[in-house]
Amino acid sequence: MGIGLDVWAAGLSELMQPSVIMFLFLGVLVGTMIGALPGLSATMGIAIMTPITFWFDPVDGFAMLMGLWNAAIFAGGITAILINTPGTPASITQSFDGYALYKQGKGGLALGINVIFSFIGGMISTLALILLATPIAKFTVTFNSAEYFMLAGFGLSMMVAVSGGDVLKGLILGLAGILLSTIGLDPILGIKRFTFGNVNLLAGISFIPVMIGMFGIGEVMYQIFTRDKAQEAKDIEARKVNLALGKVLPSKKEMKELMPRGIVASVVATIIGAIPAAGGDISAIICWGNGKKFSKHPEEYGKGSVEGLAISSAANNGVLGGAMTTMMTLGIPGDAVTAILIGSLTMYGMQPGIKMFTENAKFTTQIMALMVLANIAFLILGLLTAKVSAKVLNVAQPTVWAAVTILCVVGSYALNNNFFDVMIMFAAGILGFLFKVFEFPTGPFILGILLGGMLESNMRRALVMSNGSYATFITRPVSCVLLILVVLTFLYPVIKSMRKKKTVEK
Amino acid sequence: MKKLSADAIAGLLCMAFGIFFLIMTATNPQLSFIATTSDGVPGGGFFPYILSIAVIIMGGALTVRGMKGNSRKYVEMTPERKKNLRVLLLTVAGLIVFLGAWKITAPYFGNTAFMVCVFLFEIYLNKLFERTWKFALIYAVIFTAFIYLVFNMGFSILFNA
Repeated sequence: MGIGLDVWAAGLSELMQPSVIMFLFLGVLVGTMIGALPGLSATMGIAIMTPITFWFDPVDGFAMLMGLWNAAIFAGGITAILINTPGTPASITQSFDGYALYKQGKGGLALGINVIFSFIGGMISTLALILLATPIAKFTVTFNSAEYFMLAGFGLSMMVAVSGGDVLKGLILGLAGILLSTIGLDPILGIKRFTFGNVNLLAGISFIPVMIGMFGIGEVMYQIFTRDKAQEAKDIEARKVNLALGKVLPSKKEMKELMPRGIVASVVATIIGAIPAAGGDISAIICWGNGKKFSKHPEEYGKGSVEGLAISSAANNGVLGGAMTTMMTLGIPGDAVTAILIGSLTMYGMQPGIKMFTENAKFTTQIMALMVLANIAFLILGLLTAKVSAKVLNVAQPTVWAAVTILCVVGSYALNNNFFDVMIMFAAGILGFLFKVFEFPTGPFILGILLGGMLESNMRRALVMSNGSYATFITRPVSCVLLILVVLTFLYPVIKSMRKKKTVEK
Repeated sequence: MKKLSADAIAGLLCMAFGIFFLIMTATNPQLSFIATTSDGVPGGGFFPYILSIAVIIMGGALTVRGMKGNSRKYVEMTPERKKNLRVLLLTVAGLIVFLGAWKITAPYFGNTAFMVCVFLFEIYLNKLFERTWKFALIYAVIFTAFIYLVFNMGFSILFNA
């Protein structure tokens, strides 16, 4: 097994079509706008655009999604730099130094650093995807149902442990998500479960409408509920200021100084991205914090450090390749966007995992190449439009809400021309809103719905093969290691809180 | 009587969700815990039983935690929040009316019904978000045209519900 040069050549030759390049740039353009608008996230953009791309050729569709995703993460830094509001959660640390630089009259340089180091982070992580995906996929050839069950369990446990502060709430939602995934036909025996005579439920709850609801309508509802007009007025005033931006490109000397740290941040971000549930925000915070620790000028961090901004920019785009590696080789999403991409691949009749490197190897090479092209596209577009990007910020939030609401309805219907999907989206939107207000982490719920089927079918299949012996999960080495990791993941918050208590007592 | 905290209510709702699935599983004879086809191998009810019981237990734990010490308020209802809540409820109500109107009128008027509903709903939303009539009308026209051109003309999707 392995992707040969002939497969790469065939994949790349199909990419060099005008339609692919057009959709890629369209995706980058839409992604830049989504990322630059506070309140619109990459996840929301991908969730809304995914049903639309189903009407395209798979390569065109993925070109648009890859362009959108990569550009939205980089463009989140634009608002962080110009109005001190991260456009996406991943750009949180870019506001620490980027806005300070803008106020010092170095806004252009900050925007340039954002584009260049986001590109470097994205390229290094994509390189890791290209180099490491095949060996990891080869390793999974030895996996059988026991390993896949444990793998899904590990993904879920990580999501519960990492995605939010409240482990109990995360656990409840993770379990509820898996429970909802049992709706439909039993994967082993074909028995109808909880369908209530509704044919729409035979195939289970559609995943994409749930994502559109949670990250589209749900997010709009939350923003309406938490609207702060005084802050909005402040932001409008900040946008009017229009300080001088200055030069965009850093000097050769600056680049030479920044490169080593940017590369290290990219590598670390790639590793963090590969861990299920650990997204760009976690990566950026870890890299920025460690960058400060090991910097020659830690005192500048948070006050306009070009180095800090470069590290943050590399760290948030650096996670994408890592997340894609986990998603494509193991079928476990690294973050919410890769969860939607799994749904996308499934709709195209592909299953993430080993089959992506055998039956669908050509498409896999195209996805990897599209990641590279998306990075190049946003580098070109980002540098050319750095000085006018501030204009995108002048769109009022209610304008966005009105558009997103209708696009969520249209997108969820367009998936299967089915009104039932719209109802699912609407229900998921209300749930998403309530989860956000009452601080229930949505990640475990989504992963529960997505991985529930994998979890159940593989566990039961493993037990069928072992004649009902649960020892199969312990006697197989990889399964046993994953089981230990699952246990440790759940024990970690308990140990952490016990240690915290001890420290307080002391 | 002491008011229940948000966590306690959420815990009770989770328990109700788990109990519902447990009852639905228990009352369906096909969903057995152990499969009838081969010994010791889980049946169709294996996962639903375990998960619904786990959700009930965890929901119970959240309820107890909420009742014991967690009296935390997640939402501070300031006058602005109250106003926002009104806008939110009107948005949701508008969405329900929009979806209902689309579903009811589509069998008679097909895709045209959807386009009219989109147009009216966009005006409603923009007015709700305190935009001017002029803005609301222009926005609704442009957005409806966009939906028509992209989805009807571009992708040949008809919104016949």
